[in-house]
Amino acid sequence: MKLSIRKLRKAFGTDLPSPLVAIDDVDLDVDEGEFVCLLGPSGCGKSTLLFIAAGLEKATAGVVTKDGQPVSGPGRDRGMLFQQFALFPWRTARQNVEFGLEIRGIGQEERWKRARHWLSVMNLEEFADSYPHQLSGGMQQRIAIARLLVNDPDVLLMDEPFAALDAQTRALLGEELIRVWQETKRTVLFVTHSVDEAIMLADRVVIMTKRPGRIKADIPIEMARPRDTTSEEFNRHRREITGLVRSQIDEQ
Amino acid sequence: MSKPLRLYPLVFRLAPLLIPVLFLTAWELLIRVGGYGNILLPPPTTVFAALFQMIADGTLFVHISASLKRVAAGYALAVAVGVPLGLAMGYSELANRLFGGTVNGMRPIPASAWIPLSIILMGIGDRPAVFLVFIGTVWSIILNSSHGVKSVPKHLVWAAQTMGASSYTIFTKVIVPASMPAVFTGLRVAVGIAFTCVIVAELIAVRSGLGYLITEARMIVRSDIVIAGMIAIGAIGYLLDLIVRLIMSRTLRWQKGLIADSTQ
Repeated sequence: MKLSIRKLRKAFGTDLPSPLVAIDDVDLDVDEGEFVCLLGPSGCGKSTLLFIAAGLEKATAGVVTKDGQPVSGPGRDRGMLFQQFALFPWRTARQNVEFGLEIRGIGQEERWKRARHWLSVMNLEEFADSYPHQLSGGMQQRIAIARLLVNDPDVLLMDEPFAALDAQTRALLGEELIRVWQETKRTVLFVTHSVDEAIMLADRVVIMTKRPGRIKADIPIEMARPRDTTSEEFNRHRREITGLVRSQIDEQ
Repeated sequence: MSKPLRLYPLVFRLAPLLIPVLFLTAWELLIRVGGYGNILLPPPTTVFAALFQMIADGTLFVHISASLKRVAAGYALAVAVGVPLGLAMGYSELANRLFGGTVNGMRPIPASAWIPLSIILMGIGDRPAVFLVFIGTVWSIILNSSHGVKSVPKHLVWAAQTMGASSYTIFTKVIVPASMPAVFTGLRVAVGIAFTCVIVAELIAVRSGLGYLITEARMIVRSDIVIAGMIAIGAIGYLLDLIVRLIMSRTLRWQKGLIADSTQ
């Protein structure tokens, strides 16, 4: 098991009389090379779960292990993609991609060799010297993907990375992500609130309940890729998963 | 129809000159023709004659360089102390607790209130002027730098952490560059304050510089030199601000397009 989450609980304001429990009693396993989407209503703690796995947030109880080792803090073995892209605006595309290599003391030539490879994989080579603000949102997130993959992390944690993009760019980036994922076979935990995006991307869609977030359902998607959003099988998944998510919103 | 349209750009370009030209003309005419002139208020032509006289014989440049040297020394000192201190206060809660109270306690004392004490302790000369520039500018440099660190978007730090950056690396490669726009805002505000401080200091505590030039001229009732000196002060102040703006827009090239106007 690549990534293993056991009895995970996160409460905010534990010093208050009634702490806010974001997630409670979550068990989740992600296999090596598996693409898992976490889906749930907003505020269900799916991002919190991801931040704990990244080591950016501490769990109140329970444990996350990667390759059997408990996660105690952030590390480059677990790379992350953010909804706000989180590019360094004072660095060009190339300098952004080189960041992780630079801080490890890798020489300039080697740095550029690896950065250029990932920039070209993301079709961004000609924008290497552009600053993030000169590029569109979709291009910025592709730089962030290149910046993530150049560090060779074995788990990719993605926090609604395409939520700030328009529908078309979103679909396109999803396809690109799947292409890169199929080539590199990394383990992916992807948070989204879009049912279609989850079915499009995932090997398994894990649905969380409303706050406190627990795992409600774990649905394998066994369709061949690339997936056709208009196919009957896609629709069947869509109906089932939409129903499960909606029942969460309607409750209460 | 076409004629006013073609004329318009010229009118537009000359518009800023209209008020100064009207003002100077009215002033000149009131004295020359209206007979309002006396020894206390010379016409603008006399003022400009005095200005060119001081440029020609080099006195103006002696005073300008005396003032600028003090500005440079006090400002450099304030930057050297204020930027690292402000960055540290923004990054570390301990540093903030250690220095924050003192900074906020000292800041409300206007630079001019420091003049008597600095003359008592340092006498008349460069030292009180340099000190005044320092004490007048250091607070805004500290506060803007510290504010810059505190407003660094969290996700930039998260991104660096998930790429394996240590907290030292995060400080030098994320916090510091991300704070630069705010640091530079502090530096720019400080240049204006520094120049004000040096003039104030020279009115009282020093015997050279542009501030001294105009108080000295007052003593001998040379209003033409006083006003010429004020014009020189305005011009130097403008040039200083222009230089800082140029440096800012070169170093913060990446910021263009992120904020509405990076040169104003």
